[in-house]
Amino acid sequence: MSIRADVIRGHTETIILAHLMKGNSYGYEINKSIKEKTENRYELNDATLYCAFRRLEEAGYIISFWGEGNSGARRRYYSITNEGIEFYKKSIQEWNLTKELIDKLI
Amino acid sequence: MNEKIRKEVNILFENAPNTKRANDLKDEIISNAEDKYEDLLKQGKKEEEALKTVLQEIGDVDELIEELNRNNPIHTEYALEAKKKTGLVVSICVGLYILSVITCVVLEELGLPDFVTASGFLAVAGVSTCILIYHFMTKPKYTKYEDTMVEEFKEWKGKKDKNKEIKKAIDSILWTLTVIIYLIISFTFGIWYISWIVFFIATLIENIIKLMFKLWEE
Repeated sequence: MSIRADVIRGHTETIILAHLMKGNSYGYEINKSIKEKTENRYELNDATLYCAFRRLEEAGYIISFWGEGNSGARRRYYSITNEGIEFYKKSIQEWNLTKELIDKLI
Repeated sequence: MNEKIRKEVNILFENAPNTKRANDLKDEIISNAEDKYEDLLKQGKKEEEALKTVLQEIGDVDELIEELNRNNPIHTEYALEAKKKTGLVVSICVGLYILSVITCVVLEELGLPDFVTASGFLAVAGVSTCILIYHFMTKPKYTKYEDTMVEEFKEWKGKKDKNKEIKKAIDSILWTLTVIIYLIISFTFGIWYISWIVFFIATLIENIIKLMFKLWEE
């Protein structure tokens, strides 16, 4: 059985925000946790991930800052803003409503 | 071996525009790629294999940059809401400023002592100022990147400097005029107890001008 990746992709921003709700993080860590949570069944590709970061940042839902990486290279961290938290909650509500309707329809 | 990743990613970015945004993206990709590489090695992959996997997953950088540059505003509805909120807050505050002057006049007419009049005015104006400061301090910054090439960036910066000069000039004219008006009114009518209000009005005008500048720039 295949995963409907297109459906999940529509929720990329919310998935990232969900991770950032637990604290600041960076690209690889977020993607790794997605992979672990889905037991290796789903993973964002780099383009999707970076595009989502930029969109979220431009919308003011996350902010980024540079920190130290493992090997001395600077690492870009992301942090959720109050607006991001609000948007996250709103997205969850929307998703629950959608889920409820789809469950009724199929 | 990490140097190898850096080198490879640099090669991928060879044709990318030399902008802050592209460089930031490159650094971000490098640090993430290094982490992934380390993890792959821990999983028992060979160095060559791990490097290949990591680079493959980065994919086509040109395409990535193009996609990032494409204006893709999400949640315009949400941004509109934020704009509406700002509009509401500013109108309320301007209303309060006007109200503060009215309060002042009414209290004066009622024959209350000056300190009551002044306190009434300051209280209303103070609340308004606090609301404004709070709103703009908590408002998210919409970071706009300069995707443009260096030349365009310089042009943009030059324009910005010119605008700064104009703003400075307007500011100094405004405040000089304010002092002159303050002195003329005060000496002519002998209303020193209330004439200082022109400074508040001047602050208000200054903020309106700033706002107009901002809207015009956008």
